[in-house]
Amino acid sequence: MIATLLAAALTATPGTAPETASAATPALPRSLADAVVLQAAEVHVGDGTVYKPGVVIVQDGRIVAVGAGLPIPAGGQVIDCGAAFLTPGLVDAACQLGTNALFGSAEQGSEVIPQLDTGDVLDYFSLEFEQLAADGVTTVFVTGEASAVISAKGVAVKTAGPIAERRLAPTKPCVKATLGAETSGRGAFNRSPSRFGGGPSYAIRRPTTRMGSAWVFRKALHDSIAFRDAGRASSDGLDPAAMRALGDVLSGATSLRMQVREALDFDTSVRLADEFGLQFVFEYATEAAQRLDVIAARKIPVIFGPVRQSDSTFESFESATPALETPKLLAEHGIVFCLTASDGSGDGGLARQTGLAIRFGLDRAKALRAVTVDAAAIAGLDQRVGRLAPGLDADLVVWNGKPFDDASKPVLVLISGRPVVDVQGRFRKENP
Amino acid sequence: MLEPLFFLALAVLTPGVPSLQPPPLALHVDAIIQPDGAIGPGGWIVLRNGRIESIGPAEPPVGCARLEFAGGVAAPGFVDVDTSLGAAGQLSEPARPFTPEVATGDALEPDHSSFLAAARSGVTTVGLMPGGRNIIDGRVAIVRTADDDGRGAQLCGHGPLRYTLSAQAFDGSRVPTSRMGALPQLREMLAKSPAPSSGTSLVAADTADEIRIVIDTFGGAGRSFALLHPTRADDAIELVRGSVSGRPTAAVIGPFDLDTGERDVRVAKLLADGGVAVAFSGGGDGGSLRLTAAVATRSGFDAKAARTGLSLAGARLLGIESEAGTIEAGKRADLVVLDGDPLDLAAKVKLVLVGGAPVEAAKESP
Repeated sequence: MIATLLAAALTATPGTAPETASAATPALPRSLADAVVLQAAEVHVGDGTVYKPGVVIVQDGRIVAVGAGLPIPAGGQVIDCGAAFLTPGLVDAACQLGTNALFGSAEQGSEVIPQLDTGDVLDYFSLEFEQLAADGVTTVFVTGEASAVISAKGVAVKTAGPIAERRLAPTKPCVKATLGAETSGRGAFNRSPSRFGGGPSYAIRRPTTRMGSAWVFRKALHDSIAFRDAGRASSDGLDPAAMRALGDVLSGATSLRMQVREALDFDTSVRLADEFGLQFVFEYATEAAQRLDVIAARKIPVIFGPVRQSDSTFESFESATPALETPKLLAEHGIVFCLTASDGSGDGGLARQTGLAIRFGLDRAKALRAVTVDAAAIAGLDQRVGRLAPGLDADLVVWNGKPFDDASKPVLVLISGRPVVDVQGRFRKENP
Repeated sequence: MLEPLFFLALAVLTPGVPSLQPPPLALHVDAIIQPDGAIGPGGWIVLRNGRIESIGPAEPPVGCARLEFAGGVAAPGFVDVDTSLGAAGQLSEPARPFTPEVATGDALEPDHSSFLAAARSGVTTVGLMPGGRNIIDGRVAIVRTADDDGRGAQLCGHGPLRYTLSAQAFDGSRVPTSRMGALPQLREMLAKSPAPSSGTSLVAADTADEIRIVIDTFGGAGRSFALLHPTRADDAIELVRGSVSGRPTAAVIGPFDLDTGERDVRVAKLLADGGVAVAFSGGGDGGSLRLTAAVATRSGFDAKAARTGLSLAGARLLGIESEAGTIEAGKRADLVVLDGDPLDLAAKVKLVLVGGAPVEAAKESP
């Protein structure tokens, strides 16, 4: 039971007067006799609202009510988190963990695979998900692998809980295109090394230059338009299913991400968007700070990160580099953005990335928003997660200190109301 | 051992029997393994024209050649689904990733000496299993380990298809290179082709992740399927038990030996408890099969289920349960007589019959 997880003694005292003026107490639905009531010194909703102290009422895996001074339902189980901080479970909108393949998961048979599904290579049993849950990341959008110019559809999943309940449906399917060095730079080497049995490969015919990547992108879209309008087969042998999937990207039924790192790739993306009338989100966007005006003017959402030592300098995080201050700059320019840790977890995980963004100038409330509300919205998951609000999934993180501080850690993580990480920070295999 | 075979040979060769068919043979044993794996009462087993004619306490008909085994236990001939006995070359055709038309029976070397060794150890039917390097790998050959003369092996049919979705079925030199690319094609094939009327699909799945995707893909297509060597089924046991789309009917497990880790061994019991029929595999060797079953029982696997795991479970997987797998009247006379329970590793094989024909015993060293 949750109660036994939290060392704090159970108390049933109603919350004291809120520091933040709260809306009128919402009318509570049917009997809450089996509800779980969490009380904490600070409850951060995710959108900037904070209740000090606050209460979250959870029933049947969903949030029933959030606020300050809510009446404690009779019979409800009360968990007093004491001085702890409560936030929504974190959302990583561009995660690259949890796939089962040793050398990358994407199909190498073509550079254009938007008809395929990253969900088909997701390993729900991966220990990486346990680590993410322990980090407080409760939902990830596993984005298409960057070895294809137009990659497979991404997949959104909870990081723990019964497998049948873990996959989430985003408001739209989402595919990713990669214009930078990942596709062209690897070229013929975009396959397992020969010592692991990687012999002659289909990947040999991949583009080996940046202009080649852009050409593959353009050609695929032109082919899909000709297929859509005239039923014409692709001269590159593109699978009709791929061309149909690209038709959905052109019509907007499927959303598009552009993985770009260097400034010139931003420029290419914008050119391609204009040629084909595309709307898209930037992913990773390492040099976004060099293109702030165009991103802001075009209102392109950005999934930024991760910032690593090797991305800036080999010296330390403290070096004054644009990348480290980018989250602050994005916020100042009114750009909608979220943060990602990509394939990082633990000390290289999302909480750490958020802490770095705060250290380099990003407002705390804005930082929390960037890994909860805005991340969920950019990934098309805000109908389910990313905020402490009635009706949404009860994905909660209890922190033992100020969230994202180096000295703080998640001490209890709930996904759909079930504790998946206990107070010792241990992942729980069996969810009661 | 020599003595009964001598009489048997005498009976077969006795002049003056006015039929072209050999005379019926009657075996007397003290216990008979029942179809449910229980050790039942003994009696006479009458065999005629390669089939089991009757089983019971009554005296056999006049004219039968009689063999009596004091302390003998008659078990159905062992069936090992997953072997490569007598394979001429490798058993995956690398030209294409989907080769449902290929049959391992076309790579069968029937005179290979391994068949005689298998037959002597009690294995009367084996599957010649495709090699697992293709997503659809072709049909498993159903092979009797001895022909009617008790010599070479005999191909007696093409069994179910073998599928593989693990890493070994993929490489960078052919499309699809990945599970991501393979699954849409496989789903389409399963949706379009009719489900086989008998037998079941054999699908290799090692990790919990692979087991999940197999349940999803084959169960989702409404197929009857069995898992080949689901080593980490313990991690996926809730999916195996409670899948809404469809769950595996059976699993091929083994070989185990005395060094096999307890966690791996317990998988057999977990699967059985979850309603999955377990067929043991010993690579075609009866000793290894019996060791596998015995080690499983040491970890709590039910002894009756362990005995059916030596024969009936495998026969069902190959779709030959109307012919083999149990000692019942009308079935083929594939029998092993031991001087104890086959799960008792001290029990020795005294006689093996494949289709009623005795398997030549190994020469005993002086």
